[in-house]
Amino acid sequence: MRICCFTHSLRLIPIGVMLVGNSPLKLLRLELLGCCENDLWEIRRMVGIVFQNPDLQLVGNTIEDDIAFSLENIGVSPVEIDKRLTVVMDQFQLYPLKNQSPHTLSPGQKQKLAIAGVLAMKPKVVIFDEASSMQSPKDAQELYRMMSDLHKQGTTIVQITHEMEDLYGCERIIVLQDGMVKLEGKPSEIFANTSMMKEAGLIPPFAVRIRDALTESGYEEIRDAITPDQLVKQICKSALKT
Amino acid sequence: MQISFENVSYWHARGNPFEHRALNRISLDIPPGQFVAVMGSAGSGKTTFAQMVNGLVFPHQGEVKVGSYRIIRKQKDLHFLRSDVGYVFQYPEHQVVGENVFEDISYGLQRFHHEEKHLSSLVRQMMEFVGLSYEEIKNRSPFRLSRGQMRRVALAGALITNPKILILDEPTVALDPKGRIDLLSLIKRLHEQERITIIYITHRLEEALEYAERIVVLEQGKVSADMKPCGVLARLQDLCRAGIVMTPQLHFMREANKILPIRIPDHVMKEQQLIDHIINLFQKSWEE
Repeated sequence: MRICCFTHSLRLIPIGVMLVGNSPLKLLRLELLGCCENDLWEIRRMVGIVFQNPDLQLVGNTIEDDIAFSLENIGVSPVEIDKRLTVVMDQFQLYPLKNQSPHTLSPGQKQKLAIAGVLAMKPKVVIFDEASSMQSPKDAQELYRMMSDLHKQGTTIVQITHEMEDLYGCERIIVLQDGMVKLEGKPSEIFANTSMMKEAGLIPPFAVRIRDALTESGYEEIRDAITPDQLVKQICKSALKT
Repeated sequence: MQISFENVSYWHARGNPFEHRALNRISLDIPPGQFVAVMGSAGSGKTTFAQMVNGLVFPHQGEVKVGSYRIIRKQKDLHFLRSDVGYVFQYPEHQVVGENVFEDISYGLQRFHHEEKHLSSLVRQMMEFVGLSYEEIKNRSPFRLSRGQMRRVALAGALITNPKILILDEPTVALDPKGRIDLLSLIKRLHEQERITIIYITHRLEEALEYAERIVVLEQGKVSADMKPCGVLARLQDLCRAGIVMTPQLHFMREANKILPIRIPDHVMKEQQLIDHIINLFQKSWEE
């Protein structure tokens, strides 16, 4: 399942860094992972988190060390570490840089490294906390492709974002405001009525903005369009029909 | 102030095995009061280009002139140039220096020996302009502010010397959508009211289209496209090659133009124009 949410406090709950009281989220967490509160180590092994600021999670002296760090921590055998290192470094084009210090990398590259480090652990759930915010749009697109590949392989993806154009690909959107769930649903449900979204300080994606402006001017027939492609079709249909 | 680049080249780490050419024979003029968006993928030379306007780096070949200043290492009066050219770095945390917000914003004026009263009224004015409450924030440590606020402090600090040129290096990166729009409308206001030249470095084509009068695309240190926003649709291939991602609006226009009875003209680049255009289209087809 790929979930997108807009939040800062929700992100830490699933790995048990922050424990919440008797909230449904706690139940969700335990159900999701099938383990109890005392198993924080187990939880962290299964849930990877990519922080917003990659500087916070880079620890190694070299890029290779940095990725290996988490694997050593969870007791992966040296042979297996080597294997996984090769795979993720290849995937993220980090191989040529493997002996460099993480701090010589650009912000975008650092973020790639942070993601590589998390994926090397083969987590069941990966949380991306605005992981695309420091990437160029092109690298961000690559990141989304990777997320959807991971998702196809059965990994749960929780993407924390305020980049509205990215939401089309997810299965479920949770909008948080003041620590509470304000809205929840499929993208089509969320984009159907944007007034709640705006109240939460979010700006709908381009196609939805245009749709809203047009429906406000009385062109109700394009009401169902959410993506740019749907918008084109609907506009053409109604412009040609009349 | 007129900015002119003539055949300018620059190498990072020149004379060292890691030497890398950042700017490759760039020639271009920016007239006073223009809003220019500078785009390109990482490593295309955008930042080097902007830093040269502020005299932070010097050309190895060619000549850069900003107003009456020549950008060469031996130039003595570059600090005057720097008060005429404001610079907001990509990460505001890199340029915040003061112990408190007041000190930070007024830092650029310290060497000009203003009277205390005059100084505080200037700082208040700048803070109000960028939307920070003077009483509430002036004594706080700038390092304890949120990203959006830090960026505002950096902007106020860059504006306090009353610059004629303002350079912004990806000021909206990692801001939330509302923060982004707030900051951009502030910049737009500066440009419209004060007629300040704006050099705006960005990865986001939609921002460039919505706000800039001119878009300069750099690719491996060369100018690969230099156009008005309305010229973008015709040069999409160049933009893609330079690593710039198409906006949903351009995607929409390209698809719509394939099937719509009346073409959406290339100069429709702002969202409101597009909406008006579609409404117009509907009305026309009804009349017929």
